[in-house]
Amino acid sequence: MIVGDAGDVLALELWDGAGAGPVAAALGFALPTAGCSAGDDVCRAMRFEPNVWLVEGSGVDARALAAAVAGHGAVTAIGGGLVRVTLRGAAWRALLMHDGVFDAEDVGFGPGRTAATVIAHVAVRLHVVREDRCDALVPASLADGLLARWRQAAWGLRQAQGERGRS
Amino acid sequence: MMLIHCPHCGPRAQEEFTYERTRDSVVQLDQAPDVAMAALYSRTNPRGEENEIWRHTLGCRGWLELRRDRMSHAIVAVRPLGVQVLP
Amino acid sequence: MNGETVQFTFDGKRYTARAGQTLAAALLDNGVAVVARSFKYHRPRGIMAAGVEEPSALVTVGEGGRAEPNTRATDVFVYQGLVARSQNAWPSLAFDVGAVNGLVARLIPSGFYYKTFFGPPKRWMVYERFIRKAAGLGPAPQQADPDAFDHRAAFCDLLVVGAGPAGLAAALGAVQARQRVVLVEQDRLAGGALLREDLRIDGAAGAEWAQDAVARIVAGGGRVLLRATATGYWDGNLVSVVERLAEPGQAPSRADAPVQRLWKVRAGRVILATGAIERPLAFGGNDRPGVMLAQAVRHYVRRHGVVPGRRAVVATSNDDGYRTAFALADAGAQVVAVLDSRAAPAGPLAEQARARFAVLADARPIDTRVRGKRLCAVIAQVGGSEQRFAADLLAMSGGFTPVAHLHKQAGGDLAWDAATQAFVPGAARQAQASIGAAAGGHDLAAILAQGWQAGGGDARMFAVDDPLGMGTPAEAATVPDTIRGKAFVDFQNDVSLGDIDLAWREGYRSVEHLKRYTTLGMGTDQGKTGNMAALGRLAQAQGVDIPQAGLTTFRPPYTPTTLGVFAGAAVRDHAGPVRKLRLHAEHDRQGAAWQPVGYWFRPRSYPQVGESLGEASLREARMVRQSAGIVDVSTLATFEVAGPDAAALLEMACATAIGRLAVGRGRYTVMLREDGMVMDDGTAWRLDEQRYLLTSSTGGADRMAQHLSWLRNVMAPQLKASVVNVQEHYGAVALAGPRAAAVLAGLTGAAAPAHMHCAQGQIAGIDVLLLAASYSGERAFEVYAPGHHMPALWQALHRAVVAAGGGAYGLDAMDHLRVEKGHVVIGAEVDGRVTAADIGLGGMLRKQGGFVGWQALQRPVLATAAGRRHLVGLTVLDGQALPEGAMLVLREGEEPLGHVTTAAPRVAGEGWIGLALLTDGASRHGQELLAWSATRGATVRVRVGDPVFYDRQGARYRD
Repeated sequence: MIVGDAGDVLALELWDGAGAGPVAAALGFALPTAGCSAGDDVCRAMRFEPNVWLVEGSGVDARALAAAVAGHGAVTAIGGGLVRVTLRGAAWRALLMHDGVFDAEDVGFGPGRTAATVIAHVAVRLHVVREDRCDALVPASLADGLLARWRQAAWGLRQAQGERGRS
Repeated sequence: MMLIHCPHCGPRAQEEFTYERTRDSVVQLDQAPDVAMAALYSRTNPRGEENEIWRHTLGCRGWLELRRDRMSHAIVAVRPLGVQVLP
Repeated sequence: MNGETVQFTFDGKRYTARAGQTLAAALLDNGVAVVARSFKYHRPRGIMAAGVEEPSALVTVGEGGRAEPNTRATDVFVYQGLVARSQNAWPSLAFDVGAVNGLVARLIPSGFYYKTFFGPPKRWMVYERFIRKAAGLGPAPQQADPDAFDHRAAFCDLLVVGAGPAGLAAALGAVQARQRVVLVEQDRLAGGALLREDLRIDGAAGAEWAQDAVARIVAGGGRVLLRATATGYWDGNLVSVVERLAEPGQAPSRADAPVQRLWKVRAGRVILATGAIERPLAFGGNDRPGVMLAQAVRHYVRRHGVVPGRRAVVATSNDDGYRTAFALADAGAQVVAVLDSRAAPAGPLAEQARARFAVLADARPIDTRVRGKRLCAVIAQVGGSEQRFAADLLAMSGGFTPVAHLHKQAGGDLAWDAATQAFVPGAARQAQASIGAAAGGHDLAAILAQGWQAGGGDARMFAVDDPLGMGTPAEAATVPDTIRGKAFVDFQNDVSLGDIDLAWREGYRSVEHLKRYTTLGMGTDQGKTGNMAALGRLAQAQGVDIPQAGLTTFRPPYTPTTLGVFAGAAVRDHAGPVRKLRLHAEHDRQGAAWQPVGYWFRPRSYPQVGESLGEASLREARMVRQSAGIVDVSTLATFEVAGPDAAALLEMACATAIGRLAVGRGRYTVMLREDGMVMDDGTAWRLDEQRYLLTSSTGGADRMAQHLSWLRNVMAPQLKASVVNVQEHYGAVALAGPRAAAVLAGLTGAAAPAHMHCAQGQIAGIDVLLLAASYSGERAFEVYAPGHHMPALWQALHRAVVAAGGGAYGLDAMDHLRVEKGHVVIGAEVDGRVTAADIGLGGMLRKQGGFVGWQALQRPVLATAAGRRHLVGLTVLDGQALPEGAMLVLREGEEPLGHVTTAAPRVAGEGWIGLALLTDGASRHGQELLAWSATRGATVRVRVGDPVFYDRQGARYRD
């Protein structure tokens, strides 16, 4: 589990579908459909909401994006409120089932998929990066409590794994 | 705990949703005061199916309208509310 | 069973058990006959059942905070060091003073509690003390539970409840059909009925076949949870399952590991293979230690290697009872007689039995005799005559009740099966099916085939080799004509057939009334064993069939559930979510005293050594009035609203004018609810041609986020506007005081913005947004920056403000300052019952309407201010502190005219002041009232006045 500030994350909201073309040109790829991400670590767009995409990465030019979307939508910085938790290892699926209500064990929830859900009373946004890595964006104010819960649960999963391994 | 089929996210647990109100109690800001007050305070409360507005507040934050049986809790239909500009 | 042994104690005495035994099996093995005293009459009770349905053998297991009262001895597996104690007995189980209740049983019949309600109340006081002492279960532990609990979600195509033959076959079939399967079983072993039968499936002994089936289900990707009880069946095919990872009272395998886990299983389909529960027979003294259910006897013999008696009578109404007679005889016990209530028992089982035992037709027990406290003889009516059998064990079978609890909880109907006199699952409402004995099945081969198919497997048969043969479907017992003494139907609550008859005689006709009058089925076992006999008795009295007599409701949980498992990990420091400021560590370093505000923790003040909280906050507030101070206001709700229609959207939410705001300017605003009352207040700032920042109260942040989203998406989807909640994105520090402008200019290198102007700037290399707004009444600024820059920003501001003779201040100081300025707080002055006019803001509202709440303000009742409560200021006249929440009265004891919403010491000056909501307050300025707090025992003289106490002209916050 790696924890850090989310850095610069932009919320791109469209109120007009005509904005999709210019945005795709600025990003270099089409905006993803619901529950999906597009792009790569340098520039990525993730969709958690009907008309909002989260855009992040070192290659994102916020001004260019705002100019591209002008008249069809707006870009707003939100990264200051997010903590990024990188979950590594095959057990991330089981970990997310603790105090959760979302089916993270569904094999269909694989790389390139996103989901927003609630875990231990905290609204989290999940992004499956690779089969063995899932990133979670967590509201900064609630991150400490959720991380404590995740560390406890991860420890329990490791212990259970160890017990199974011995028997 | 109901399972609500969010038009954007698929089937999700009720915990992720918040109930807003019945469709017939939505008050438009250009309605005359007596019409608006009637919508707010003099409503039917049918035993059976009713159109309800919910929000997937702890999920995609989208708004939806459910047709739901208030006796059996069976959800007959779900449709998204508001604009969706891209599929 | 392996040869390992474990030590345990019961009522302080040490015993040895074989590993794998339940506490009940171990007690029987050690010859402990009496394990409990009954609820009402304190009658000695032994072990009657072998599963969770056990009504009588309730014990407390474990010690200290780990103690689990009312644990069924049949539902705890013995572990090394287990400590069990009997309950409801004093001074001891063997000699219980309360048993005298049995002698006066005549005097406390059913409905006794209710009857004591009549007559003088004094009488009830006497009775209550007596009843509380006499009746009861185990006491709840006094210490906190030291153990951890866990919540976990699971999803599957198919959930199978019960790992008996039906459930195992269903799970095997589903695995073969490549479904996601979860199989849960309350026992620690899979097999169910197979654990007590001597038969073979596909060539393997039943218990071994079951173990192998579990291995195959797991290998096929299924999840098998043993020692896991499906406790509730909810909407949307959600089933709650409580998994025991440690036994009751047992320490977890490793420190901090959970002892129980609540699984929330969401299933596409649910198969209920929950089996059936055997019914006791109703006859005099059927609760005596040594009287047991027949299948339970067989269970102890075959699974646990315990023979509960040496001379046994088997009393049955059906073929299944014979299997127990064979099991007993095979284990070396003497079967004295088989009493069969049927007129002419026939079939292979009865035939085989006649070759080995005395089988008596038309025979039923009517009474029992004890030696010491244990059964020594059974009196039976055989045909027209009475016979006495010397026996220390009576195995009884009165037919079977399918376990339909979960089916009913899921909204399913029950159907009446006249042949077995039982309710079986009927039409289901959710995606569910009941199979096996739970559906009334009794033939093993048929049950296995049914399960396999229900699971989704293709056609196949299981080869069952059962030397005894399955017999005929079980017939239920009829109540004998002769009842001697107490024939119990609810063993846990001490309800006998006589009590049912009494209730009938006293006019109780509905089964729901009967239940409450007699307490039938209201124990922790919910009447799993005896309810049907009682219903039968009621139906008999009514002269109808049982279905017409009705049935009480099945409610979750199926078995008693530890409270801790509902809390899960949400205990102690995690009882609620905690929201921490980005500056939490900075405040800590500066010695903040913390104040919970909703889920947030905010600095209340920064007390210096030797300073009280009150002294600290007053010092901080005066510092702001004299030089400058900074306060963390990051919890404020903030929204960025952008787009060509941003102002139009804001004007829906805000009742004040927004559209004419120039770029770089801000304005105070209020938001109303649809009923016209004030919902929230805040400020709106025009950052750019098409971008606004809206702030509102901390406490109303989530409500405002929901409200704005509602307006944007549902009410006005056509608007070209984006609303983004940036509460978490921005941290904010308010800088206030006569030196604030100079401090800010020094940090940014630019002139500070004028009051209610906003600007961009840089502090310590961080891009900041500056809003010149004042809450304290002094010249003030809110400095906004993205959350992760907040520590550096705070440090720079703190250094500068300290250099200017100021410092940090907390919530209390902020409150003192705002009270002196007459500013309202959402939740204190604005309590959901005030209009903008009530708090002096009526003139700000847009006359033309168009905002949420405008229609409601047209109501005639709101047309005049007269008679409403208005915001006023209070000045204390007699030097005392003003109690918050106090009533405002002319004289003590009179109808209150209003109440004190906030109280504070004067910052600029001495004494106490406050804000209040007062009926017709606007016309009461100058009047003297009493602030009377009956709860705090304080009465203070106050003078009503204007709510603004300080700098009424507003000269200080302007440039």
